[in-house]
Amino acid sequence: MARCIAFHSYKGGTGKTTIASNLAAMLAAKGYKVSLVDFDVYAPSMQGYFDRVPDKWINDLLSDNAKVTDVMIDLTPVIAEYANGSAKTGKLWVGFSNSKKEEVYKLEGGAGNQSDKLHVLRKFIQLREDLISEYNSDYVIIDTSPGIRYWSINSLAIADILFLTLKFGDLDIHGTKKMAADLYGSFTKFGTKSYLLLNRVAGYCVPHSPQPHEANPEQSSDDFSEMLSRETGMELISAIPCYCDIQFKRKEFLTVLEYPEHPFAKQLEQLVNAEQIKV
Amino acid sequence: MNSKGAGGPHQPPSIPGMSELSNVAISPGILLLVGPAGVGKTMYCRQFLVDGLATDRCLLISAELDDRRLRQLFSGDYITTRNFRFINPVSSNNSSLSPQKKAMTKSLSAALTRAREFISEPPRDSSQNEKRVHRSVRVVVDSLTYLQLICGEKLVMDFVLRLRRILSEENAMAILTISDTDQQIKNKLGALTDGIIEMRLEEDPKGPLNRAIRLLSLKRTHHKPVWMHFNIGDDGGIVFGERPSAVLLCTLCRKPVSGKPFIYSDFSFDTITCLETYRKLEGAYGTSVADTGLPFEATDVSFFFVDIVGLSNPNFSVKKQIQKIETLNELLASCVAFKKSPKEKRLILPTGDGMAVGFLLNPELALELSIELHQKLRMFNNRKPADDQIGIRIGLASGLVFAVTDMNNMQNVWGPGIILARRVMDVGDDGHILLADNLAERLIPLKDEYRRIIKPISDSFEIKHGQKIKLYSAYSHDFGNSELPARASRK
Repeated sequence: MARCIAFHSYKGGTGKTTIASNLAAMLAAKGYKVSLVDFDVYAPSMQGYFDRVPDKWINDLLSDNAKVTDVMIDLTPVIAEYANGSAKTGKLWVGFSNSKKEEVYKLEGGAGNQSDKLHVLRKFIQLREDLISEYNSDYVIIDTSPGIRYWSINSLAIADILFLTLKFGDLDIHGTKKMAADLYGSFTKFGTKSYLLLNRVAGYCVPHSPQPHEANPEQSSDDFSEMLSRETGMELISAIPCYCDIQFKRKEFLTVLEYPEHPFAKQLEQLVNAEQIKV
Repeated sequence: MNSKGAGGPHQPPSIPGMSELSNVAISPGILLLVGPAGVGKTMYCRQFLVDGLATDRCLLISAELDDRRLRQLFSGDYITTRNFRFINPVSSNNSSLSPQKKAMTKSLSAALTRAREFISEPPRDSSQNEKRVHRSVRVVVDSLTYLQLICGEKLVMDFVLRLRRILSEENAMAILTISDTDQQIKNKLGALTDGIIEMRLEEDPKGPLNRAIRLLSLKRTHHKPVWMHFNIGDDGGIVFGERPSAVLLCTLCRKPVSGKPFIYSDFSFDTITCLETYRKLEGAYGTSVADTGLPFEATDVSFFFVDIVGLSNPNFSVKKQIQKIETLNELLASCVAFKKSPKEKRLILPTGDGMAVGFLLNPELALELSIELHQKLRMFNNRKPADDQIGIRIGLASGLVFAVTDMNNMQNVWGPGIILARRVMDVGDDGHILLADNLAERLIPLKDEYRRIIKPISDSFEIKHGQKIKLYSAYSHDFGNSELPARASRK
């Protein structure tokens, strides 16, 4: 059974694009067919991450100016390059959102009236179906816009698994809790699974010696994660430490493939192998 | 499927493609045909008249046509029959295109006189010499847009109103055409007519433009508007395309449902994934899911239904009638109860001579709005002469409705809630605020004030289709009407 995973957050800059891209690459490297869709339509960044300029964008597909085959770029060769021709290599297709302001406005405005808006929504729903039925994707991974916005809600609605990504040290616990209660409940009651994904967890600068949480010296990061999980009612699926080499690197790119021994790759490996996302 | 052959000798006149356009019979009345230039309005009207030439009196009123163009439009055989009459309303007294208002008024009056004479002249059947036979009347006014350019809006509105009076005495079906560019006059005419037919042109990248038609609205009758494609044949006849086949489409993805549909709240889905995705969207957006264009499930709504009493009184000018409608709308919009209800939690449906407002949250708002509107209206009427005063009747009820957004991007609602409010309102006279039991009995226990002002007036009042309800009236010294409604006292 195919899985559709949406990466979401309450605020921006939590590392959704980085984790989604690395997760997609790692799954593809393990032999899965993966479709990665940049649907952070208000501030798309995946095009920059993969350094590609596609002929057609997801926006073109939604406005009937392109077919799915035009917008999903086959980046399997990038995976294969790192995998040294491993027979296990699966597939990675990536669809990019256009960051041109006219395109963002067009999508945000729902292309005019309600019937047009519904048409675009239907095209978006159809994209997921096509990626599963036509591309035989094992995983469809969607990088969504943060917060409660039209296209982030729609992205979450078509997903089976939601990763609510939070950046340690810059948490808005109140906002995140409210969003989890207000929005995620609408999805989880119809079978969607939602998980917390904590990123840049503090205290790992010296590996294997977790430090007390800065904000509350009495509380360790493990305690804090538990508290957060309890407060939001969501299971913590992964707590990815803050790695200075990634954090301050000029441009991180598929660390999981480039440095498979890096602790970040090991963390993602755990996520890839988690029962919760197994197909 | 060709529309020819519609209408029998003793049948009320029908419009071309009636069975395709509506799932209910269309009673004689005036229909407004709206569409862009070149869509085929004139040819549709031509078909309407041609269909009735053998049996009905057919009258064409057009300021655009002269004899030559008339012959081009119809064959000579048609226009020489005694069942057909053509009137050019601006050349009837040889004052054609006179800019003087007086001359124009005279010209239009003369045209109406000629129309009345033709419509009401003793009908004769040539095969049964001098014997009176029943004749239905078909009238076309093509086009009001052109007429308005010549005469101005006021004279056109007056012309339509007077024509309406003439036609109301006959078993007449009339079609008035207007271009869709003038929304304002279209709305005003919509209030004076019994239904609206819409035409549109659709771009087809692979071929020529497609023409489509639908019966957008039909007063006091629920029907489901469906766009029908049509063509204009070489002989000028209207040829309808096949009605879309009755394939069940998935509410979410619009794919045909293969196999047994997954049903939720009267909506059908192709797969369980579609159903679940719909429910997730509905859960996230709430009733605002309609903003995405998707229908939402039946919702319990408290309805406020109001109309102006005696608005169609022929002694009032159209201008006065329109002023009254506008004043009512303004007063209503200024009410706190109206303003404090969040936009996404209320439904507004203009009904021509009134309005229906549905409150999705607080059922008290329907009553609060009624009381506030009455108080504002009382102040307004105190300052006005009798003719300018506005009398209203209000019906309140609650119940389930479906809300859908139609292809015209209009908000539509249908369900027992709105029907009941309408029927309750219809019972009332000037000043009444009547409540159906289902709303009154929810409100009365809430506040002592409601106990004082909401009084039962009939334990078993029969409304349409034998449905019986307990009827309540809300009144006090400054709102409502403490008298029994005339219809309730007759029962």
